[in-house]
Amino acid sequence: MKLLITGSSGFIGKRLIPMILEDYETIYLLIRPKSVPKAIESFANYSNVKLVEGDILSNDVFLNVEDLSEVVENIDSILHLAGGYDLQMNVLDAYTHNVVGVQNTLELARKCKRLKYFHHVSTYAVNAHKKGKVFEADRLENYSHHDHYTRSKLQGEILVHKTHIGDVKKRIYRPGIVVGDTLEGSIEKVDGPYYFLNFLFKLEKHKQIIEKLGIFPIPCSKKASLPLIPVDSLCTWLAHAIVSPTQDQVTKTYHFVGKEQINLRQFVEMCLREMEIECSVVPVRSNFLLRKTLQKIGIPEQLIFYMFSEAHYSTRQRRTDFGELKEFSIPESVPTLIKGARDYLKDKK
Amino acid sequence: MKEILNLSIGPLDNFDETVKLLGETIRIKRLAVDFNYSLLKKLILKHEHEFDVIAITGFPTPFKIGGKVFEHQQVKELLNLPINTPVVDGRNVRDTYIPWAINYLNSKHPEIFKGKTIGFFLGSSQLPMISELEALDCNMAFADPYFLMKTPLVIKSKSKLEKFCKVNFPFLNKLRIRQFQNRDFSSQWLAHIPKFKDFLNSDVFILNNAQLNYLELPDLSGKTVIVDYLTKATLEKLKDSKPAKILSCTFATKEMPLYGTSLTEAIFYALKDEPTPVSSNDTIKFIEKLNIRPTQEDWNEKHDVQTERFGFVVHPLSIDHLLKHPLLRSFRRYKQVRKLSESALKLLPGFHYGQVKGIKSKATGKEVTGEIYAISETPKAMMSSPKENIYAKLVSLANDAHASGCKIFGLGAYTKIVGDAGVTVNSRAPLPVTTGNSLSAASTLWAASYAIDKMNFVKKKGKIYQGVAMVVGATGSIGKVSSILLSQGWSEVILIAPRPYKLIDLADRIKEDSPACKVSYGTNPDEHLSRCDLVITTTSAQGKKILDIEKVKPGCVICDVSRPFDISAEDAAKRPDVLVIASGEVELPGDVEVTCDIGLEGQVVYACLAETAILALEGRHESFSLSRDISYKKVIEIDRLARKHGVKLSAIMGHDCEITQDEIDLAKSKAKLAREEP
Repeated sequence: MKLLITGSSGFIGKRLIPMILEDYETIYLLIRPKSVPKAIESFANYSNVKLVEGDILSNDVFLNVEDLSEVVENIDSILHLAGGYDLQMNVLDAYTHNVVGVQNTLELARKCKRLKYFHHVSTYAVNAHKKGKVFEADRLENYSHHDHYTRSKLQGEILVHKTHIGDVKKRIYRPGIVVGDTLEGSIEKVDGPYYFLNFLFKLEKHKQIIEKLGIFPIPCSKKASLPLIPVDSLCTWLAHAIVSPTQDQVTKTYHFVGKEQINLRQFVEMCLREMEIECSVVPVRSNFLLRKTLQKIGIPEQLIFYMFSEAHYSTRQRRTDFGELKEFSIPESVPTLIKGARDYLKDKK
Repeated sequence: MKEILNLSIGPLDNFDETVKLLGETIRIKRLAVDFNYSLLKKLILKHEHEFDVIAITGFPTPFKIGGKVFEHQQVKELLNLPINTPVVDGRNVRDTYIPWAINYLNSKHPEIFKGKTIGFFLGSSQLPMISELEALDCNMAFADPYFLMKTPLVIKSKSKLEKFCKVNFPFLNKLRIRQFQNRDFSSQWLAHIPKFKDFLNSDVFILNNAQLNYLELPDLSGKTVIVDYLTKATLEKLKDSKPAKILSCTFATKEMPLYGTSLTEAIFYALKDEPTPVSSNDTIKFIEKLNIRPTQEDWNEKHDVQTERFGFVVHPLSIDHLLKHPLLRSFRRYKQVRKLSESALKLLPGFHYGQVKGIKSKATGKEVTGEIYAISETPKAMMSSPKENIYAKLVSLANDAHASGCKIFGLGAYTKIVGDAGVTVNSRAPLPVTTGNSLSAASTLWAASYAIDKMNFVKKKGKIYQGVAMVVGATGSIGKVSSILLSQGWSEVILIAPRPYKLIDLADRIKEDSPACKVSYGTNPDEHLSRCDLVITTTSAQGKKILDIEKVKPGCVICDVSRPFDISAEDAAKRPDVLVIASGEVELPGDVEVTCDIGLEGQVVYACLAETAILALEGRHESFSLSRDISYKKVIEIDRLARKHGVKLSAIMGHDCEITQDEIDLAKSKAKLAREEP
């Protein structure tokens, strides 16, 4: 089996590749020219990993025609991991990375002669506007998400659905909010729930005041879910899914989130408990001061939407097709996540 | 290789394709921005150096009125961006190609345009096409006020449309281009607005591919639809509304898939030797070189075999007839029920009575089913009831018919005589209404001609019968048309009606149209009976005696079109030398089954019902015959359509049954004897 991976040098890619090395005869990694030295350093020891220079944002994807013909002739699977991930990214960057990038990769897939599978990594957030249970097979709605990132990921996923690539089987994975691994909790940047952790760390020095107050208000819906997934669990699942995909011809979508999903309030409660701050967390409604308040405490306004998102993500399809995958426990991971976040922030300082 | 960037303001419809045309490889990359104008502008600026030409699509089409170009401010801005790569919006190709395509379609399918009503969902986006259609003698109906402003008005001329565009342009120009909320043309209430009905009843609908994304289409059964081009998705959407024919002005060749005008202009630009704007000459040159031709989507044949429905309303000609209904049949033996007064029956609402199944066109194979409805009034009761009550019943049945999928509604017997002969019912009904009078008139003449030939007493000079024909009830709708048509085939015509002043106009008109025919008129038919070879009675006398049968010339043919009959069975029996026929019944094509008793047998139906069936077979959902004034041109047209679909005279009928050849021979011999007597 021969696989092409885009976005291999990202947070997920570099953890995933070692997990699947033995399953593939050759793994082609599409690397942007400027990232080649770093990639050589990371993957030099793997004999079946081949670096090919290119960029999914350019029309032809590959820099060299020879690389293009080798990949087109040989690969039987593509894992499209590349994409922009930043809730605050501007519309042009979001569209370019998450729509044009997908379009170019799909066009490449259409050229491949032996391709059997196209694996696309999307995000759970494409359905975050819905209320209640969201099933993996639900039809995608062309919803106008207010942040460009989610909107572009949704459009990218729609493109994957719409583009016909012969008999190629398409698989779409929607990871939840990817957090540090379960062993070290290490992260590469502050995003999503880490903004809250960062804020809570700042509050630690005011522990006595908070305890005196007895309550900790948090703007969120009582039903707002926080579908966290540790990056190592995600990579294990992803590795299993791309190495042993089902044979169904229909395009399949999987929510890669835990079966048991906590909400933002529970997460903050767990974190406060871990930080030994005793108070009850009280959810408060959205109000006109919220945006400004969040700005003041360093939380991007794009998160407001997710703090009130009441979608709950079904994992039925994943559990049916990959029942053997081991579930993870977020409550058990919270201490590690806090440690990882502390370490990252300390290093950054 | 040439590279084209196609930026669409519309919903996500991205693709990346490479085509080879005239030896040149062209890569086309479409990026759709889902109505994000600022993103589209940024994409132009980001990618301008990577492509040879940029095509923008999904924007409002600019229009020219009196030499002035009206274009949306955003289009203007994009076309004038300070970049080196040309940006095109298709206007140069559109202005040349669309008129050419319309003329091409007209040369291949002249029947689509000539004299037809063309409905435009958004005429302001199709102005070049409208000028061409005007030249083809088409009527037009523009739904622009509804499409743009949800105001259910219809504009009916190009000049008014231009005025509408001019007045509204400043307002529309300021609007941001955004996802257009679906405009629902399928709403039932629209069909109740008389003026909007004119649009919905158009024969041909014209729209473009982009509009298909924003429209809930009305039922287009039997209609022809012309589009600029179609994608797979829009074709599927269009098919759901079941048009009979889809014609696409698409730029499709064997080598080149489907694209709109702006992308085509970009392709022509890329194919040109010199990087200069695409001119009309360039467009014509490439049309020829690439052998681009409008196409017809080949799916309608499958659709045509599907069963379409029409509604038709009948009523009992007597109380006995009413009690034939299955629900009432059991009451027939109760004298009390039989004694129910006709006024009590008026309280019953209209009801579904049965079906006419298996009507199949000989020409196209299309099948239609007739839903037969009935109201309980007898002719007497109907004429004595307030007409508003009858209208209300008929409109209610028309609503039922519409709800059950009928596309056209026919009025039978007295229901087309009440009030203004269908005009009010048509204006209130959600579907077109026809009285069937055109075919009634045509079939009367078929029967008359058939019987006269069989009796063989009237000689012919060329195509003209050298005899006297009389029309009793000449000012009625069937009578008037019969008079006009008889005057074209007979040497002398006598017109009889109770109001002589109405006859003067008619006689004058006949004299003008058929100067060779001698025309006279009067109020008493008896005075002329001894001279007449053919008498057509079409009155509303409700069974009253209108002529003295004893005075009729031996060998005369009397066509009694009226219901109830003008000539009673007893009177007819008094004169075995006279052939009294109850014309107006015809035979429908196909394996026809009538599931209710309409007073006729087998495949035989009333001509007015047959007209409704013919219009359904032809897909002409229009108020073909309305009011008392029917056009003889329409009679000629329905005659042609009847022959086309295989509707024919069901042999000539007497009062109770078919008139056989033996009966004709008997009448003929008796007439000969009577004529020989001194």
